[in-house]
Amino acid sequence: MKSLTRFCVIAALAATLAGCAGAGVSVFQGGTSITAPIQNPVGRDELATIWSAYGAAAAVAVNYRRLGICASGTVETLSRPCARRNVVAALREHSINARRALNIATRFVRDNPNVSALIVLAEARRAVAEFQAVANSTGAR
Amino acid sequence: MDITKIIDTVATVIELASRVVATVEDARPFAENIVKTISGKGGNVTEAELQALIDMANKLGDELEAELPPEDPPKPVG
Repeated sequence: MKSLTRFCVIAALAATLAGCAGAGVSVFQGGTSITAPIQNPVGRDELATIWSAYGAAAAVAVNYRRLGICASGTVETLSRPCARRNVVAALREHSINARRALNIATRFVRDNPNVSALIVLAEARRAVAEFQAVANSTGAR
Repeated sequence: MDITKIIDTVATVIELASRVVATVEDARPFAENIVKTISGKGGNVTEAELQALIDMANKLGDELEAELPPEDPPKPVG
């Protein structure tokens, strides 16, 4: 009886896995399979657009920084243009964060021309772990 | 008005204008890509084109994210 139960459990498990691994319809397309791949809806065109948005903003920010940092206790004037230290510091910080996110997205798209829910979930889990690590290290929590 | 002040002001305006031109030049490849996308003429970006955009953006990013120089010590009063 015990072996029959074991057989039933194994058979049920095998059937479930076979169903998952089969050519089912992905959950992204209204199906039930979390392992069925679909073509990644984000490709090179979308990456090019988002990198262009960053690049255009960075071009403006870099040229602002090239004015040179204002000396302590001074601000920019028409005859003496300079970049405020606090503004450059904020631009720097946001650029670092933006590039980190862009590099993660680029790596993901290049590594995954096809995606399944399993890959997306694993990536989401990794992103949450990374976010928690950053939050902990900055004392934001 | 002092002639040297006029010359200074004109020089500053020219310098600012050249910076605007430099900014436009730096931003041009990115802006072109965005315009193509908005106008519906984009698409089918090749891997080489994408990598070139990424490299240009990273070059600007590296310059922007360089460490800030140390702050000047406050000048003594008096």
